[in-house]
Amino acid sequence: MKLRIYPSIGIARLGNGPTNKSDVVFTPEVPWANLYEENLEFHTKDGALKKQAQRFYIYECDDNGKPLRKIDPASCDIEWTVEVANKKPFWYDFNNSLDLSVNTDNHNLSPNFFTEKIAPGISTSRRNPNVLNEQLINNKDYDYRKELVNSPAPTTITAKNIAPVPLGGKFPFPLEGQNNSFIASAMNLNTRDVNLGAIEYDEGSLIFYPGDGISAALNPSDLNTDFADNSNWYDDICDGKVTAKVTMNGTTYELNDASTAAWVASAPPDYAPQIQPLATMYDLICGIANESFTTDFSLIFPVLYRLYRMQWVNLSDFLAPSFRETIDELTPEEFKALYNNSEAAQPVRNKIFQLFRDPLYNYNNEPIIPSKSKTDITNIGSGTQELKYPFYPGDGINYPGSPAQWFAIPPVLYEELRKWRDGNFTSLDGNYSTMDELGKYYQNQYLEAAKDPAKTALLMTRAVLETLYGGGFHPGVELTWPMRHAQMYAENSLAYANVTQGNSFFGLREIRIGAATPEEQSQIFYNDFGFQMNSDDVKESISTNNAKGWLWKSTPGDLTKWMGIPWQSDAGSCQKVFLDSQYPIPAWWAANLPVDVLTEESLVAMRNSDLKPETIQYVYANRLPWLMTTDTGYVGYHAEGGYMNGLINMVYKWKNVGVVAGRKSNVNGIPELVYVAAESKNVKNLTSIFLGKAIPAKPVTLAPPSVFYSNTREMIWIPENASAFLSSNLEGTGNVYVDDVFEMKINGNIVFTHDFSNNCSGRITPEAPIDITSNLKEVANSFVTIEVNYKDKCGGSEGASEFYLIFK
Amino acid sequence: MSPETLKTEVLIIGKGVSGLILHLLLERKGIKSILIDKVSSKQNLPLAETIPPSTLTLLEEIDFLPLFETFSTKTYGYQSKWNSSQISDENFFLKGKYGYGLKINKQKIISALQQQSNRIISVKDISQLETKKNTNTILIKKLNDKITSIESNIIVDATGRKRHILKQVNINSIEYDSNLAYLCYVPKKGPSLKYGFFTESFENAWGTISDLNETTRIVSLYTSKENESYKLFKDFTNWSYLLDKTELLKLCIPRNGNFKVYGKLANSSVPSKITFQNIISIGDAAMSFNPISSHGVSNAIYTAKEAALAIEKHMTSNKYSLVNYDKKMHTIFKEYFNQKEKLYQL
Repeated sequence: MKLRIYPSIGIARLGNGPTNKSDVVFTPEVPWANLYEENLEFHTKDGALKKQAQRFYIYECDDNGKPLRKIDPASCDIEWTVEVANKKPFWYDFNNSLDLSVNTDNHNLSPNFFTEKIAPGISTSRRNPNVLNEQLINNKDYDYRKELVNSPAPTTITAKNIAPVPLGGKFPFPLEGQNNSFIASAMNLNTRDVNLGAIEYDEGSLIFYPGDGISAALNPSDLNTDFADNSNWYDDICDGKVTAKVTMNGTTYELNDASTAAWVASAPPDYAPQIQPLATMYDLICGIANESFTTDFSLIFPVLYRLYRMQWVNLSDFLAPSFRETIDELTPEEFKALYNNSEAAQPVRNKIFQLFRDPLYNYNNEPIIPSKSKTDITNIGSGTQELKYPFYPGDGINYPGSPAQWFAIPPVLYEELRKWRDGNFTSLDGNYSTMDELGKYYQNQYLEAAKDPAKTALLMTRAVLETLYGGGFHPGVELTWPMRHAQMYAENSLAYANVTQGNSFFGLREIRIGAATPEEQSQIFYNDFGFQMNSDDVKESISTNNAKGWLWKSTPGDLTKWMGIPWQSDAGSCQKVFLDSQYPIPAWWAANLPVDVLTEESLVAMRNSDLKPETIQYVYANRLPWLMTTDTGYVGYHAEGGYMNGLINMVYKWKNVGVVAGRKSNVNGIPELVYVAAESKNVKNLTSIFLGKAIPAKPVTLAPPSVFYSNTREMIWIPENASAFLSSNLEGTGNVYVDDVFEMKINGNIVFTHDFSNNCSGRITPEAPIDITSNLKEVANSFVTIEVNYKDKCGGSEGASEFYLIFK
Repeated sequence: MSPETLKTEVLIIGKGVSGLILHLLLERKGIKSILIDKVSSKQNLPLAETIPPSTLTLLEEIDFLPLFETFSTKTYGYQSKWNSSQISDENFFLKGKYGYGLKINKQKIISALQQQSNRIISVKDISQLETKKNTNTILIKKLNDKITSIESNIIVDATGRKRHILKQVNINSIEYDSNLAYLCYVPKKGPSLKYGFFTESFENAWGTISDLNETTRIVSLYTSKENESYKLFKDFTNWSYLLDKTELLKLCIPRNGNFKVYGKLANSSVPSKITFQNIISIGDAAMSFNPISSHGVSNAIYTAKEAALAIEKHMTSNKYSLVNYDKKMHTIFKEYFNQKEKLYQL
């Protein structure tokens, strides 16, 4: 029997919420499962940003290593061990992706990067360059640089651990046998506790919790003014190996080599968890394999849908010209052409295909993205070539004028699009008229596949990788360019050609990080390339049996060391990119770090039934910068603004900025399901009970007094110890009125009436939410029948606002 | 003095969903019918019954869909944990033409249906059913205690599980199991449900949680008289013990407070004859299902539609139409029952 850990690659995301399983969100285990959820909460009741935790499971596999089912934890003893590190301060500055001028057979990169040198890799020097190996100074042998790696000892847990166990960590990290760090002592400081996360044993599975998201500099006055490289800084991102020891029927299985262990990395929060990255890490890993795929529409639809859904997080993808606009403008007949391979449908498919940028990058005059360099030559007149989609910057951003300044979807996706354009794919049966109908069909394929216990393991890995950005890498959101190389993986093989019959989705793969053995790790853990690292080092490391091959043997900290430090700098800086032309505006990784959002407050405003339909459309189109409060420093008088402020403020504002989540709109004229950003301050713990609808003002028809509207709600629970209000909106903030009298009965008895007419003065006075807590005191802790009546008392006109009963 | 006499072609007894729909369908076909409803002081509890997507097509066919949708909320599926460690997710998307089902407010639907007719008579009592070959006569006691006699060619038993009319002509019921349901309204607690409905099985029993409104859930436990501890189910204070081994149900039971438990029959049963002479039964009277199948309301709608067709044919002197209705319903019941047996191997 063979056992392996799944998902083979896990992701946890930072949050300042508590480390316990009831207050976190878990990394999705089935791809697409959460897309249409409308009640997900990403803040705790106290307004903290929830951590995203990752669960790991042990699967029994067949002789070829193909997973069969989860093992029954009751049948065995499991010991989990996690070893993580943060190597960012030890590693190199990020200038650009160092593989860009390396000639490989890598199918994720256009050969033009090498042959035409469209965006050469830029050599880089060490972060914290003043920290050296003592040998250089006085011939003693203490390597101060090793202290830059936060590498707590491995943590092991078993069923006996009933609470989460912290992984620990310090920065700078005192080496073995030392009480304090030499770097810290030299700076007259104590080393800081920088906990990298926690792990918990949960009915046989392992829960990995990320850190709290705290980043700081050793010198409090050091500001993080660079997007990726800031000396003296630490953060609590990490990555490393998840291993297990399983004892079953007297046999012990060690799941600690590259083929059985899993890898976990922590990452910044995903601020739009239901919006998928345009190109994902899974796409790149499929690209590495260089296999050919039988094309059905499931290989095409995801990239179209992902681009279409960027409308919720980026204004350029919402307005026009945009991919959304192109799709929404299709006639019903044309829409059907998307999933139909007929000759007649080809013009539509071709039109869509032509919108995409060819990852070969054989363009010469797309609009230039200027560098921040101050030589003042504007580029007006550039961009005579039609700008292609997606409208996002790419790996070659450093080089104004390079076609690779723009992001192209990975070649593996582009090739499938080409086949699709040419009709070389299997049509999808059925009748679909919107992208969301197709989306729900494909979501259902994943949900169906997840009913097969054998597929769940690989679906889990895929669900993780589908949430990670697969480019542009500058450096990226979670992980970066090394992930697009075959050398990174011990295994990358196709296990199922189809997710469900007829719906391949590029199949399900077994993917394992090429983890170093413990012996290798002891030799290479602190390896680097000296003062400088450049593309040649990468090139040599890729060639067989080269001494630099250690670069691809992963030890804890190696996946995340390439990312910016502190992570908040890059998360806060990668927003809009301004060009000489001012419309439309490109932006970075909007699916995980949104750029323009529809706010929850706008949604509340649109629910006001007095608004004219066109006003609702204006409010709907009014998207605000996601980082509005961060860029400007604070809300209020004389707010400061600017890029640098954004970087600096993000270090503490990251936990308060909005998370985009699906919500039912309840507004006519806009989609039924909208994705809105809610900041932590929006968190409310209230229950809203519908009592009566809004009645537009109209002349009375019956002689007063009369009841012109009545509604009954049965079996409503009245809690004790809660305040009760009448409000005209779900949030408990809307003014209420009836022209003329509102009456509320509970179990047949009148408990509250209010005359808004001031005794027929001719004027109706709406009231701010009315506190009726004392009126409900007698029925607290019971189920009641509530009847509300809107009464006309004075004749003339009648009307009313909506009424909700709010408990908070 | 002989009582006042009313004459009609069809007399429907019972003002539930099936009776009202049949009444309105016949009216549309120009067939005269009277619906009588025995006023009861018993309060009807809101149950938040669900109708699946397939029934929406049926409602559309008979033109009642807009009315049902007005008094319902959409539901997109349900989750269950049935003899398994996994929670399975049944999504209504792609189930037929409609990607959703309806969670109905039955009281409001019934009163809306009622408003469409003026031939409904509320009565205090029904007595003396006299059956003859072509005309049946029934005596009713109106609300003002006046006795009225109604003559009708066809009598429809829409009195639910009671089978009031069939019983009077000595048609017995065949009971297929001895399932019992215990319902309890509880304030919302525990996890929020993806679709507002969740089922979980446990030892010799199963339970459902159904979101009723913004504050309240209905927790229903089902077991059978064969379960030795079935009496424990009657008392809410035993519930946390009974549900101790469940994963989700137990989280939805409030720790404090004693909530009223309502016991109900929940067995599957069918009368030995669904039609007898000129008496035809519909809804639960024709066949009643175990509640978990969520077939109750769908069955009411379906049998009303089929009965309307059978009655129409009968009026155009098709001798066999009522007999054929009987056969068809029995076949459906058998099919349902076989499926249910497969599911219930608890």
